[in-house]
Amino acid sequence: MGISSNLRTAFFFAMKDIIKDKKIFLFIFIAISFGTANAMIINGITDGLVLDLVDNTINSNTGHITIYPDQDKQYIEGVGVKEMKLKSMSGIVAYSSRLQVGGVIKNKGMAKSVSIVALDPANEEKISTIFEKIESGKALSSRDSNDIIISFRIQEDMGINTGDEVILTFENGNSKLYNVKGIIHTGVPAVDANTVYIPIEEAKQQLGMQDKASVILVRLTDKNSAAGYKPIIKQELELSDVRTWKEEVEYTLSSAATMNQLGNTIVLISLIAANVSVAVIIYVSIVNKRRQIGIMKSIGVKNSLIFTIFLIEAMFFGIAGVIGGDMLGYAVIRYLENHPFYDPLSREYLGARFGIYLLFSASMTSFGTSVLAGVYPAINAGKTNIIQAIYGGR
Amino acid sequence: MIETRELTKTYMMGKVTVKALDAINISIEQGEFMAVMGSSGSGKTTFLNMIGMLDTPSSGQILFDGVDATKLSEGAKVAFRLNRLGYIFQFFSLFDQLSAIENVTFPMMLAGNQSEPSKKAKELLEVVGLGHRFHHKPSELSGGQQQRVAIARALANNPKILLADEPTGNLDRKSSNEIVELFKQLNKEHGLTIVLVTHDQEVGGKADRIIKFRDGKIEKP
Ligand SMILES: Nc1ncnc2c1ncn2[C@@H]1O[C@H](COP(=O)(O)OP(=O)(O)OP(=O)(O)O)[C@@H](O)[C@H]1O
Ligand SMILES: [Mg+2]
Repeated sequence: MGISSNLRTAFFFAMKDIIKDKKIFLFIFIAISFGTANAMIINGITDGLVLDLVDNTINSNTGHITIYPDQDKQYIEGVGVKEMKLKSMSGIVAYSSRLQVGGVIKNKGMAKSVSIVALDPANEEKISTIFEKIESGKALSSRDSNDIIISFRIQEDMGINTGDEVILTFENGNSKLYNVKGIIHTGVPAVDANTVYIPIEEAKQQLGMQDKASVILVRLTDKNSAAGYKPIIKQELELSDVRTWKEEVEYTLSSAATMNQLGNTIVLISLIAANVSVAVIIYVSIVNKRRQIGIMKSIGVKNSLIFTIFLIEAMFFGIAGVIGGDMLGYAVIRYLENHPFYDPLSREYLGARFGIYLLFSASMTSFGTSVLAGVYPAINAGKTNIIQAIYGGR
Repeated sequence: MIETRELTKTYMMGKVTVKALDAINISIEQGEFMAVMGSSGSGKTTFLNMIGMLDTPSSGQILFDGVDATKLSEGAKVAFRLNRLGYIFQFFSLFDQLSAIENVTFPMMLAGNQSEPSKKAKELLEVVGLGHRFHHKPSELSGGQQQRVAIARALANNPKILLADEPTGNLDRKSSNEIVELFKQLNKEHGLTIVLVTHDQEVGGKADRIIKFRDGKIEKP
């Protein structure tokens, strides 16, 4: 008996089996579908979180290239000249120098140490999106000298509202009363914790600094060319600590990697759960077929054919379930992309991202485990002792 | 055709050994219709399972045309069951996802030696008197009809030997008689060797010979 006719016979029997046990088919289909969809959705959400975090970091904190003072210096000196050089380089869309100093904010008898970020509102508009992240109130403008913007955690911690007057003390001891013009929420936890934004001209005055910067953010036409610009900028500006956005978000990404791992663990657990139920359903259905397997053997069906029949059934379930799961997972991820949900804890919108690899990896693992779940009872089915199978374990 | 030598099967039930078959020596001729009778637990099913190669003896030999079946490889046993034996159980043993005709076709598909399996299956179903029920599922057939399909299935690959363990045990008198007549006819017209286990004196009476089991041994007539 040839292999092909063997297969045909196995197919014939397997299909009859599947058609007959519609309920079992439905159970297994649902179990695998949900397992597959779940894997996709969780990975899609963690991807979304990671990508959002990276975007937010670039947009509010680092730009595409970040220029820092040399290792032994506190500030970049001669900023004016350096800015001119940046301006003359092609491929650089915008740049913005910021001053970053420590300080203390006081209001209604409460005090909190903060990080004061001084920036040029006009320049920032070209390079970052922070002023689009204003939760309430208004963004800074270059003309402001008595206004500041505070991050939302400061607002929460100190019960400050827009329009309130607060005292800001700079690290050199200077203090001044400022009006809180707006509350900002950038989506980068480190920034949102305790940052106060003030216009750079005002800061220069308070700090008595000229031509200095703590950091210069640079925006390129193409963020993927950052690595190429890095050495050029280093040379032209005669500065050694120049970092690409990739290097900057490394930390973010490394924490995101932990998040991905967490996602993977959850995926694994839910896949196991889904596949254990698949295995149980297939197993039970095979146990229920013990007598039938015994009869098959008694009429001369080879073990290998019995194995093949159940393998075909498991593969069929796997394929059907994976297709169902792919469609479900795809639909849910696309939905979440367009309808991000609000997480009150992080006060962020969590949206998923779809990537074709999600489909692929979820399908492969799901199909693999489905088949494995079917193979084990199938091997057992083939091995079953005829007498025990037919008459039960007397 | 079939000969057993000191065929013995023992089961361990805890510390007690049960001798289900106790040194059985018997020979069954080609074309013989033999009935196996005896009280419950006397070893009839065990005996039939041994010569059907569904089970292996503890000791002794089973010879088919001089070949020791206990020494055959697993593959050879499978082929033997497929091509030379037909086995009919007391309980209804059809594949319930297959129709009557598919049940009968299935062993032919396995053997792969029939050019027109469904034509042959139809013929066989007609032989067993089910010419009008080709496409019924087992659940749509009466017990007697199911047993007829099982017989047709057992005959699918032109076996030499038909083994039946109380095939009429679950049937009423009328169906039971019809089935036995069918066996008788197959035996007479096709020269099939038949070993039939039964509790029913009337069924046993139709056979050429009756052997009686008692406590794993054959009773002297
Ligand atoms: N798997 C087993 N384990 C232990 N004992 C067994 C097993 N199979 C059969 N026996 C014992 O072997 C003896 C013969 O059993 P067998 O089934 O052959 O009887 P039987 O003549 O077919 O009875 P019945 O007419 O009730 O079908 C019985 O005592 C039974 O308990
Ligand atoms: Mg019995």
